[in-house]
Amino acid sequence: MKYAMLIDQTKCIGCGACTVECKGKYEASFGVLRTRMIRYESGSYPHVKAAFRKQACMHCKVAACEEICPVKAIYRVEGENGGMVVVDKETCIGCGTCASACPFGVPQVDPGDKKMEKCSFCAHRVVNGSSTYCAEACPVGAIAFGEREALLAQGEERVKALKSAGRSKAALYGKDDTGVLLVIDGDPESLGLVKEGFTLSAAGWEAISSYGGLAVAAALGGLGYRLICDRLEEVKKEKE
Amino acid sequence: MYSFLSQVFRDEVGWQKVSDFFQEENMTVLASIIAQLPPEKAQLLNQCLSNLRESAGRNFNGKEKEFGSLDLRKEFAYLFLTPQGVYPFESVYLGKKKLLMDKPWEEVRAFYRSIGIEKDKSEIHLEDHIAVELGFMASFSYLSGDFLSYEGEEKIDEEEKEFLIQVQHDFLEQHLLKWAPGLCDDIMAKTRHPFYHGVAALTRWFLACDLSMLEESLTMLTVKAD
Amino acid sequence: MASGAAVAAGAAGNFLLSGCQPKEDKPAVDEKPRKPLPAEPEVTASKFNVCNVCSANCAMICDIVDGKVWRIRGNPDDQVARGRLCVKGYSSYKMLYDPDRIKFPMKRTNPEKGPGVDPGWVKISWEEAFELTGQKFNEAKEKYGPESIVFFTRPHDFAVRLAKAIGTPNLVRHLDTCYTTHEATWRAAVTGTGRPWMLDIYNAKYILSFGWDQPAKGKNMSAQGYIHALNNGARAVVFNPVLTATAALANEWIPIKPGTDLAVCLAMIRLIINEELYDKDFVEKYTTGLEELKAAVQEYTPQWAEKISEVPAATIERVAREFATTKPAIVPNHKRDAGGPLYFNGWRTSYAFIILNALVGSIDREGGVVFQRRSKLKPFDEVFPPLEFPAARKETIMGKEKFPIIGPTGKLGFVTVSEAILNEKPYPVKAMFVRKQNVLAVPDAPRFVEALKKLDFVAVADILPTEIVQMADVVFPEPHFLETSGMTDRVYFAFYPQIALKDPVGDPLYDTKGYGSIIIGIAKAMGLGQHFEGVSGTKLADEQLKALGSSMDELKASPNGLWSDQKPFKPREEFGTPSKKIELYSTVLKEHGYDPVPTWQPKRELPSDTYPLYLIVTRHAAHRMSESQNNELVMQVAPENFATLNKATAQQLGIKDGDEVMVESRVNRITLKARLIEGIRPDCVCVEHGFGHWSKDLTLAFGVGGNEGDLVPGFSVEELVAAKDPSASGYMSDVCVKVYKA
Repeated sequence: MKYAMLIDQTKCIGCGACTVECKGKYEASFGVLRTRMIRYESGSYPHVKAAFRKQACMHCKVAACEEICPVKAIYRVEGENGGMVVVDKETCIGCGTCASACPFGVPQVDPGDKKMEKCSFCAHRVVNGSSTYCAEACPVGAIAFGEREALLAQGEERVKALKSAGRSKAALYGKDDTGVLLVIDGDPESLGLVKEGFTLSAAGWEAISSYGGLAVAAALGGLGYRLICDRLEEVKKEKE
Repeated sequence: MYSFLSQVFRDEVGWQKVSDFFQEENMTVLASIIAQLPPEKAQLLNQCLSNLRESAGRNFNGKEKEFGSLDLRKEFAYLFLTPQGVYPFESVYLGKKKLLMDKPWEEVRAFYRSIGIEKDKSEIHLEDHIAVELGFMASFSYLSGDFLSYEGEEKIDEEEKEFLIQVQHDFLEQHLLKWAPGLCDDIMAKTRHPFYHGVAALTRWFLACDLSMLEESLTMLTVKAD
Repeated sequence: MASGAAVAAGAAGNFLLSGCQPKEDKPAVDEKPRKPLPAEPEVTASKFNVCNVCSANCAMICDIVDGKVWRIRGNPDDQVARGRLCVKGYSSYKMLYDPDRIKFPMKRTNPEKGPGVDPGWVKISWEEAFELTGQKFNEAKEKYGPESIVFFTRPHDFAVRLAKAIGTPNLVRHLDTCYTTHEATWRAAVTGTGRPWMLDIYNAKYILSFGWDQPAKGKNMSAQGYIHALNNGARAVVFNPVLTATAALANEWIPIKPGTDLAVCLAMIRLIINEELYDKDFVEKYTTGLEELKAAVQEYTPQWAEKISEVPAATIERVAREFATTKPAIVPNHKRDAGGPLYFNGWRTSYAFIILNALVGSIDREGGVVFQRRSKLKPFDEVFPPLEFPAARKETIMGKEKFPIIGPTGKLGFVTVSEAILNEKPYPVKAMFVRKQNVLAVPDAPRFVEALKKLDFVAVADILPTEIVQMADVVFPEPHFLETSGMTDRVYFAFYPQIALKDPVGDPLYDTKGYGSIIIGIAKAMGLGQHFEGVSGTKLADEQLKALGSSMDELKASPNGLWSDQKPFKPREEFGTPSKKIELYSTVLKEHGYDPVPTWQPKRELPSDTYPLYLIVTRHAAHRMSESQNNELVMQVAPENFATLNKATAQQLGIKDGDEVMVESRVNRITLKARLIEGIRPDCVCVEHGFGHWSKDLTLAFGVGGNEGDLVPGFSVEELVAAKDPSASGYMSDVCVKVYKA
């Protein structure tokens, strides 16, 4: 994985600047957001903690959406088994299988063009040496984008600093699993994140896939086999 | 015809414009054109025209030559200036964001540019305003010596004529017909005034008929060329 | 297209048959023809502008793609923006392209006015709009006197001159709902003039917030400064009944009882003085009145404050000691914090903030509250010397003359305007000129609507068809700020004078006129054109820049769109009080019969059996007051407002998350959706401001959420005078409510 995004939850004010900047740059229906802001709470009054999480594609090392897509519409822009996970809209049939497989609940099917919509890491900008829109917009500098190695080091350093300031639960999330690295202060669950180590290895996926991706889709997401077949038929008709 | 419709959508309309439009000469030419249409379509258009004429007659009188009645002025503002009416912009009808100057506006502008023209500075409406799009059609139908432009007798060569007709055809197909029927339906649903109901009905059916007539002209030209 | 279809069909066939087929049979990823990634649009021009969403006026760079704004960035060399903008600034261009905007001047044909009434608009020419307005204003002036015409605007130079030329003293302003508490106390105890706007949070090491919540509200320079400071190891303690983002990111959140911050401040002041923890050098050199203050606060022990505020005495003591011994420390203030015009004791709380800042030496010092170093702009009246104005009546509908501290600033009137008009006190009002102010911003908005109905004529200049436009007789469409030109001084963060260029992003979309031209048009129609001979906004800006040794042309040619005078920061040694020092015991307040020290006073309304909950008002970071609810981008981030309740309270009331509930005060009630959280005191309900629009012409905003301002009572001038409040402020959260299922 060449690139990464480092999001520092201990800096995020939850304002939504990233959301509007992103939304204004990509075509999608009203309300379909590639990145959104969610407020999480833990504890009960008066011992409550709150944090904001920028919820968007995590660009997993081994991405469930990529593996499970019945038409292989999800692919990587560059890098072996890493890099940016993007959707080929021409190929996408909008069946939503990816949405049900994603451990973070990220992909959405745009009701307008019936295509899956999610963060692309601004791949078209990144390949030309630019950063992502959200990282450039964040007023408090809570989002950084760049070479993964450098950001890993930056994240670790930040965690160390937080720990030495007495925040013992500070941690770097996603070191082994995702393209998005999160500096968090508390359990991953308190931010609606799955426990680390959630991704199957590439080999694991291969084994599952060899029994047919659709069965896996059905099993993982509860999305019926029938539904996908219907959608494929529909698409076929549309294209004719 | 296009010129009249463009003016009606552009601004408040006075008796002068309406009576100019309905004058005998104009109607004769229009009738001869409509007569070329299949009987069903012709009947529909004639019906629209006579409805409009009737409502226009009722709503203009000698005193309001310049502006038309207060009711009509209120209706213009209600329909075209406040959001409770309609947004007469292609960008709002076809764009995802329902904003001005969105993708469809870019495409309309690109279309104008592709044939080497740009909106005049004095035109206050945007490129994809219904009045501007209809005005575009008016200019081109005038140039191609089409329909109402009975004065345009000067000879233009066939190739040029084909180009002019092709442009009209493409603009209708790629732009006006994609959204104007929806706009007209909305006007008909929202307006409280028979004049604008008539205008919308006329526009709606006229555009559809014009496309088929343009298609026919194109086929004829192609046959000749062959 | 064709190849795409083939691939899809092929894949489909493969899958439909597959079941257990080996993997190799699936089309390999590499073989798939991928469309190249889309290219980023090519930016054809970049224009400098200044954000007018809020008064921070961040300098912007607008990237234009073929005639249209594609993206807005913060100007990296601007002291306020520092290369970034807030969520409101980033989304501001969507309002420019809003099809709901007012497109042409219009006049009303339906004499009946009110919510839900169709005004019967008719398009008119600019000439007719001016003539009609001029004629109606002159009629009012002749029949009822010039004071019967009221300006309901911000004090734009042109508007102020027109008011003077007409001879009306009535310029009603919104600041008594916004920050007059801060203005009045700083004026009395420190400056003799205005208040400081700059918080050097960046360099602070201890941030003690009493309801100051600018980072959570997305305020650009405050959010940047706060996160920068925390990142640098600053400690932040936030007293707030609600766990907002500012509180959540702080080291400590203390859910204080609403309206009792003054008690905690007083106990801290007492402790810092008694334990001699204050900055002796600063207090000695730059303040007076320590002894009087010390004597006045002796009764305010931490134990006493605990009883009132529910903050443990030990916490108050610890925080006070930390605050006094960590340098630099700051008690930030801006507008509607605990020292803002929220509670009956707001001005006293604001005065306590000043004292706390003075005790730790944080007034006009790095890391503290700093007086912005503004550019010395030549005043309008010097550039365009005025003719003689007619004498205006001393008595105003705002009661300016009855408030010796805040009155001379003219920064008041919103709180009392409805009663003044309805009761015709001190005299009848007949006509009003409004610019970009809305009905929803006035306390008890429904009563203000009644007041507007009473007027003979209302002219409104605005961009969007808001509620007040629905009440207008004539409407003047204004351009969006991105369509305007000029220059703006840096205020909210200025260590040195700096001016930013405004360069329009393109031709105006509609038949609009700038505010200055509208004012001049009305003046001419009233026969007062002579007061604006040769006056223009362009000329004003140019003359002002020339007086600074620059010019509009030079500013336009500047590579970063800025004019800067980077003088080093010199802390202020003298202040604007009679003693030239910061007065911890204010002789000015005393002279005018107000309490010279901030002694304890409770908030006005306390929970009762009928109205058991405190009302807390906040703002979503993405929204700007009641102006942004028709912005399609903003509404995707913050689509509605809620009645936010503690889960335990909701359970008692039988309310579930998402239920429709009524929030009712003694004056009105509103309907909202309930949102249940843990991070709020169980005796509070929190509502975000800005929603509850009833203008059907605001397509996205119409009918969404509720306006919490409806719940807040307005006052008469007499009632405010009786309150002995030097700031004449509005008590915008000093109301208790009940919540029940709708």
